[in-house]
Amino acid sequence: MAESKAIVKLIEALSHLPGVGPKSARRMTYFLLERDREGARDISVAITEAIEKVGHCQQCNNLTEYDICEICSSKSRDSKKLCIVETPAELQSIEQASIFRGLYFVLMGHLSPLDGIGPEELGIDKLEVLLDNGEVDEVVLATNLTVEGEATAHYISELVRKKGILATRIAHGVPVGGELEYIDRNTLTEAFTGRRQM
Amino acid sequence: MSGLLMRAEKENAFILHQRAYSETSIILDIFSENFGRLSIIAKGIKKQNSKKGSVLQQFQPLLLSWAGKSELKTLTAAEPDSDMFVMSPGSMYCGFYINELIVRLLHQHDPHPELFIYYKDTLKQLSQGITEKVLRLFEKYLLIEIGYGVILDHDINNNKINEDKEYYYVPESGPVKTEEVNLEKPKISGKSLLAFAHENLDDKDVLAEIKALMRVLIREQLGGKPLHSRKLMNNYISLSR
Ligand SMILES: [Zn+2]
Repeated sequence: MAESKAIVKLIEALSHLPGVGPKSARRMTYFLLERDREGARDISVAITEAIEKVGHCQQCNNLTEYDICEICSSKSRDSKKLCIVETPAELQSIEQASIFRGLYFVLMGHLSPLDGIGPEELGIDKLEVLLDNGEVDEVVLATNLTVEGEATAHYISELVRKKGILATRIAHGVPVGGELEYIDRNTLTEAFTGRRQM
Repeated sequence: MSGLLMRAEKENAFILHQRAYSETSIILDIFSENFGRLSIIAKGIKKQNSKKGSVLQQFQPLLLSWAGKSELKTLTAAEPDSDMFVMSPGSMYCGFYINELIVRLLHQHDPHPELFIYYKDTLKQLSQGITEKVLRLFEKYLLIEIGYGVILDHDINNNKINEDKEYYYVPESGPVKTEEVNLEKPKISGKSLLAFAHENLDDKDVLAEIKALMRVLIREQLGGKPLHSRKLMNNYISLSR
C-alpha cells in the first residue's frame, strides 16, 4: 500500500530540517503520528506563529518579533560599541557567554563573490547609516575566522576607519576556520577580551 | 562517471569555494592536480574542534583524499601539504578573483596539472604582495590552457610584431596593424604585446594596456556574465585608498 499523500508531504517537509535526511524524516513522521499527536500539534502551531511573527530588526538585522529588537531598544546596553557577526546564531552564542554589553549588527552571511554575495547583499549600506548616527566609537569585528570571514572583516574595517571610528578584531584564540557558533565559552571570552585594533 | 567507485589518495588540491550543505557538512569546490575541478562533500566538519574543519581553508595547499560513486565525492581525509599562504587583505581579494576565473572557465573533471602548478605559484606570489603582474600572467596561462590562443609575437598576417607600431587585437585571431584597417577593437602598442610575450611587465603603461586587453579577452570567454570578485576587488581598492 502506498503511503498517504499527507504522510509523504510531512516527510518531505521535515527533510528541510538541517541534518535530516529522508530516512530520519520518515521516522519522525511516524513517531509524531503514532505516539505524540499533541506534540505534533504544538510543533505546527509554534512554526506557524514563528513564521508570522518573527522578522528582522530594522536596526541590526537580528531575528525579532518587534520592529526594533530587544537588544537595540535596551537602555542598559552600551550603544558606543557595535559588534558585527555573520549570523543570529553567533549573536546568540556571544549573548549566552555574557561577554559583550554593546549592540550588534548581523550580516546574515559573509562576502562570497562566487555566490554573488557582495557588500550590498550583506546590508552594508544599513550598517553605514548606523555608523553615521555618530554614537558608535568602536566596531568589534566578530566575523568567523575563515578566509571569507577575514575578507569581510577587512572590508568593513576600511569602511569604519574612513569614518574615524576604531575597528577591532576578535583575537585569534579561536582556531583558524572556527565558526563562533561552535566555539566554547572560555575561548569566546578570550577572543573578545583580547581583541586588537585592525 | 556514475556507478564506478572512484578513489583518490592524498591528492594535491586547493579549495576554490565552499558552501554550507547541512548543519555540519559543507560542499567544497576543489581544484586538484590530476583530476581538475570537482565537488566534494565534507561531513561533520562544522563542529567544534573539528581538525578537518580548520584545515579546509582557501589558499591552503592541501592533500585531500576522497571516494565515491556519484558525481559528488565524499572527503575521507584532509591534511595541510605545507604552510598556508598568508594573504594580505588585498591579495585575498585577488585570490577570490582567480578562483572565480577557474570556477567559471574550467569544466569539472578536466585535468589541468600544469595550470595547477601555475595556480599554486600564483597564490604564493600574491601572498608576497605582487598582484597586478601576477594576475595578468595567470589570466594569460588560463586562456592558453582552455585552448584560447593569446597571440603576442606575430600579427594575423604572420609578420613579426613591430615595437613601434599600434595594433588592434582581434579576439580569436590576433593583432592587426592599425594602419592597415579600421576596426572597433581594443588598441594595443607593439611594445606592450612584446613585453607581455616576454612576461616583462614592469612598465606601468604596458601593464595598463595589457590589463585592458585581458579584460576584453576574458569577457569574451565569460559570455557577458560579470565577475563578482572583480567588482569586490575594485570596491575594496577604492575603499582602502
Ligand atoms: Zn536590533
